[in-house]
Amino acid sequence: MTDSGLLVANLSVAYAGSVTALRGVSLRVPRGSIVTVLGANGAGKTTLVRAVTGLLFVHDGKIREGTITFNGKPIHTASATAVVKHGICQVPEGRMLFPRLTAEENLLCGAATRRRSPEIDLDLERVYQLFPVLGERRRQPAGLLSGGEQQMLAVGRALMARPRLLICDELSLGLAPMVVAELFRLLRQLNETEEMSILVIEQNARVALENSHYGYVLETGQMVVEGDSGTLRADPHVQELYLGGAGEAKAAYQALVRQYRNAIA
Amino acid sequence: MRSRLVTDYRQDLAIFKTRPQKVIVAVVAGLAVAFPFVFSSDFTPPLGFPWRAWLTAANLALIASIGAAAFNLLLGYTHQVSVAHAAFLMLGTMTAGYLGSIHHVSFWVILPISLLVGAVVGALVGLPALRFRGLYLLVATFGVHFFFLQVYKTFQTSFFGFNAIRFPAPEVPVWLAQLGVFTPDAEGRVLIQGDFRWYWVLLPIAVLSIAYMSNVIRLREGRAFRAIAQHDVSASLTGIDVTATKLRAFAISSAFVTMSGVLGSYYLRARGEDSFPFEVVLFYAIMVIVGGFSSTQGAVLGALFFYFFPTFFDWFRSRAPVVRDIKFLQAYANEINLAGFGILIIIVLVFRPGGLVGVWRSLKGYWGRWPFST
Repeated sequence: MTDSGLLVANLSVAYAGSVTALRGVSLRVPRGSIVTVLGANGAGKTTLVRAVTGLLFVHDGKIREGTITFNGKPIHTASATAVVKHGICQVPEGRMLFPRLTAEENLLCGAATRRRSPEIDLDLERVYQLFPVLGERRRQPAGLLSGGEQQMLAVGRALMARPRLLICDELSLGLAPMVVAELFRLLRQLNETEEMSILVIEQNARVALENSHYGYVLETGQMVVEGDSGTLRADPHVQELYLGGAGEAKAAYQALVRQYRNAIA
Repeated sequence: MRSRLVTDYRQDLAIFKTRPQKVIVAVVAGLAVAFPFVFSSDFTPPLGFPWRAWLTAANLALIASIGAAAFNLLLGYTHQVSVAHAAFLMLGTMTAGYLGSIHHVSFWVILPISLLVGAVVGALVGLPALRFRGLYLLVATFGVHFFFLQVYKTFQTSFFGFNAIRFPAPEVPVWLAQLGVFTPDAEGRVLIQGDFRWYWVLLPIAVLSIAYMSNVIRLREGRAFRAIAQHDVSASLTGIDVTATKLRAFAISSAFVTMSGVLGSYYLRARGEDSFPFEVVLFYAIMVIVGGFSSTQGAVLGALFFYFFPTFFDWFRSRAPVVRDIKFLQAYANEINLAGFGILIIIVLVFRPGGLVGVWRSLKGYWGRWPFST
């Protein structure tokens, strides 16, 4: 069980004590894999991420039921800081950089959980190799970088914590397709060369399924479909609803959903 | 401004990077050393222009610059709105009064003790900051001020009666006194008295304190402060322990405010309960804002401005030709002094929102780009 990766079991989350955002969600991110969670607005993707990274308190959310474990250790009661120390780091939705700190200071903030050591300098160097443009702009306030550069910086900042699991929430938000493709190429490279597990939360289903091993579809707080990314991509119903494919009946998709629900019930 | 290219890490990490920077540091250091010699001389400028008063102003400014830099660390960098500034000055005075005036502990021992006491009490006062932000925190720390005021009154009346707490003149440490540069008094002691000697005590203490604080701000801890100020949720996501970091900011800031309270008590020799009105925190806010928000240099410049400008303006009102003949100005001397100060602050803030540091930076930019500057 020591490197079983992230395991979310039967998770239910409610906001303000009454509004249910997630109902019995289960998910697995095995070590060394890229897993994606797809879903429309309001499906509960961000709630799922916040439950994992200990940020539910920000909007008065609470875990009602279920457990989250990472490599066998329960983390659903841990604080956000403790979760980072467990080796899970998040590229938050909307980037959440420190706009008046320089790019380099932002990166150094990412290493906040680590003791000061020459390794941090090496990691800084590594991020600059992954994203050369950040090296050029390292003395500039993060708020002055372009959207793509800011997203690179957010990824770089997360990498500075040396995570074993990287969670990317809406990585593609507001970025040009070329930048998105480049970021995902990098995620795959990190996954292949360093065996980093990656959980990708996306609305951009096409890119997410092309760059992951396994996928889940979240709908109004419940998992409705899961499967290998290749299978999901080829699935006409997923195509219809999430990939913008044409011509397939919605009823068929709903049948698929029913079938899945029966299977997990 | 020419772009600065570096070829190795040492150049990149140097604190004073360029030649002009080094020159400026040397000039400022030279001025700081020459200052007390010039302004303790018997020179009498024409028109009754103040002379020795500048040394007093400089000493007060040195004490205040520590407090202002500490205030700036909390407000300017960590964005924690605490108005309990005077409370920690009181804490410093009480520490000094209890240890120094009653138990005759040496001034030099009280200084580090006051740092510790300030840090511990500061962390306690910081506890509401874990729950409140912005205006709510302001109200919480507002309560702290009046709590301390009560404690101070009780302390003073139970140990010192209804008069002010009086402080003895500290002695120069023995090993320094034996150097022979000082002339001991009749009892063979070397007391720190008078503006000239105090200047030499206050200058190194202020320089060390401010250097320490600017290092804190520049390095890991300060990055965490600024990260929390800008985006506390994101800071916790990167693994910064928001709770502990906020408390550390309170502890460091309060430690130095408390120490500046000790320095102020010993320098002014007497402190009563009316020495700590609530406005004190506004004075420090003025220093920080006029000097330049979120800048340690700004805090120091603001403190200098806060004590130098009134000295100058008072002279201007009472002695300058033409102005001195306006009866109205002389009849309402104090009010006019305050109003003049207030108007100048407004002028600075309207035209240079970056404060005095902003003025300095734009001058630097102007000359750096000359002749292409506009």
